Amino acid sequence: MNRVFIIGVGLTKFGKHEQLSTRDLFFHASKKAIADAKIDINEIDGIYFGNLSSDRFEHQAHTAAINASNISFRHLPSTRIEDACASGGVAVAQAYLAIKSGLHDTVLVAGAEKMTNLSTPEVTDVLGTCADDIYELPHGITFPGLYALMARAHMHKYGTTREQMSMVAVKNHFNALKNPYAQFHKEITLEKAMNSIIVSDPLNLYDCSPITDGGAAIILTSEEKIKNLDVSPVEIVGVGQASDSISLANRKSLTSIEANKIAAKRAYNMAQITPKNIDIAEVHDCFTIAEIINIEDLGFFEEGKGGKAVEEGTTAIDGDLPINTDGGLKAKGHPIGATGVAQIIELVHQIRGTAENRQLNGIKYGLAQNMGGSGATSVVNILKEVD
Amino acid sequence: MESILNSFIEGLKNEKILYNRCNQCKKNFLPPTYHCPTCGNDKLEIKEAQKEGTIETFTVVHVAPTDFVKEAPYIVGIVQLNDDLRIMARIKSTQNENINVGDKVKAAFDKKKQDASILFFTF
Ligand SMILES: [Zn+2]
Repeated sequence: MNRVFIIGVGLTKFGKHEQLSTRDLFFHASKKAIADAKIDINEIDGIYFGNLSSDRFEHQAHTAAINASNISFRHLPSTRIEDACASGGVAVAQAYLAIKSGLHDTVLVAGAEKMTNLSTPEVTDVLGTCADDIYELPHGITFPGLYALMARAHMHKYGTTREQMSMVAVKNHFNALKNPYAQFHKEITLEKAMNSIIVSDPLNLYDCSPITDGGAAIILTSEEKIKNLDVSPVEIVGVGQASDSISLANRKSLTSIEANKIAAKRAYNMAQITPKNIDIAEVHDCFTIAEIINIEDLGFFEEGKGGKAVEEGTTAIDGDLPINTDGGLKAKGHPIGATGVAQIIELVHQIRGTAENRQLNGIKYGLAQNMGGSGATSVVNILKEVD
Repeated sequence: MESILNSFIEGLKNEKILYNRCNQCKKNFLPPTYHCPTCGNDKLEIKEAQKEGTIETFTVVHVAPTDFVKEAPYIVGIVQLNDDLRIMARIKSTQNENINVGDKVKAAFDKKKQDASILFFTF
């Protein structure tokens, strides 16, 4: 069977890009990834594009074709993936499949989202389409609200504290200081994080990832192709994905996300490793409580012990298991479709040794977990250093 | 063909919270759907839930979607009903009670509404 390798990565700065559309964000991230891979655009034979809602944000659907024609004149097959906030991670998984199957040799996977042109209530409406329109939205629930429901349940069941949630924000803001592509370069104090304005009680502004414009792209290729290239490839060794009821109240638990556990198990099994093998992880911290729940679901910490792990510094950049060394969604920013691809990019940098002043030593295995909605889609990709 | 949605919303209009019981694994679930989420069996009974429950979790929404901005802040909760059933709805309280997880609440029905928000809980 074909092995699949990442040979190039490219990011736009995350933040507010008044003059740029999804088309531009895709193009600039993709050009960088192609240059990083030291290949010619004509070697690419397929495109997968993660994007939540260019339709609602920019009144433009059919963006996969637009993107393909902007970057190549060869009529490349180009497919948009929409799985809520997991669109980018699922696009990576689909591209993996395309190479694994032998259909394609070299694939461009990109994600992009243009969000800052709408007001906060309008963005809340667009993101709301990822919750259940029949059983959830009529009650006026929002995404901060859904994660607030999980946060209160987690606090009640395990004693997770307000401080521990804020510590996730403090840690991720600290990590983003060393990431030139991050939206925020602003260290925050625990006191500031704990006392910001309430969005959906018990979550406040510093528990929430921001509204962001950004693009991310990677190049995947087959084992045959890497032989002739002058790059340090990173292998994708595990891919796992799972779905669940999109309505939070109908799921098995309010304090853990079943789809995460199943997706992780599938990815670990494929990679033939356990959570103990993971040296670094990028997890979907759309809200601080999500990081705490995710690191439990992925098997890094026992259920109910995620908050404690953050408090003890285990997940800090100098801890035993660094989480979100690039600042995570919280501080790097969360341009929805780009997020899952950008997570992979941080792992590639850390594994191949190009993470500059955030570089950690001895990273062999990295895991990226990207999640849609309140957890109805979860996708886990495991990357490995090439021996 | 039937919509799985109609029975639930029609039930609310008649002040009933309808749910499904799987006749194979005997699990109960809400809202009604095409097959049992636990075992996959599609032979399901429709039953009526009790109209009282306990608050399992709740949030006070301050930053609301455009259609709800005027109502904010408001409380949305997940309420545990009898027989392991869980449902999301507004929790409305006239006296601004200090709300806690585990509090007992009663179902109420707003007949002016046409969707799942017909149902709300009160003390
Ligand atoms: Zn059953």
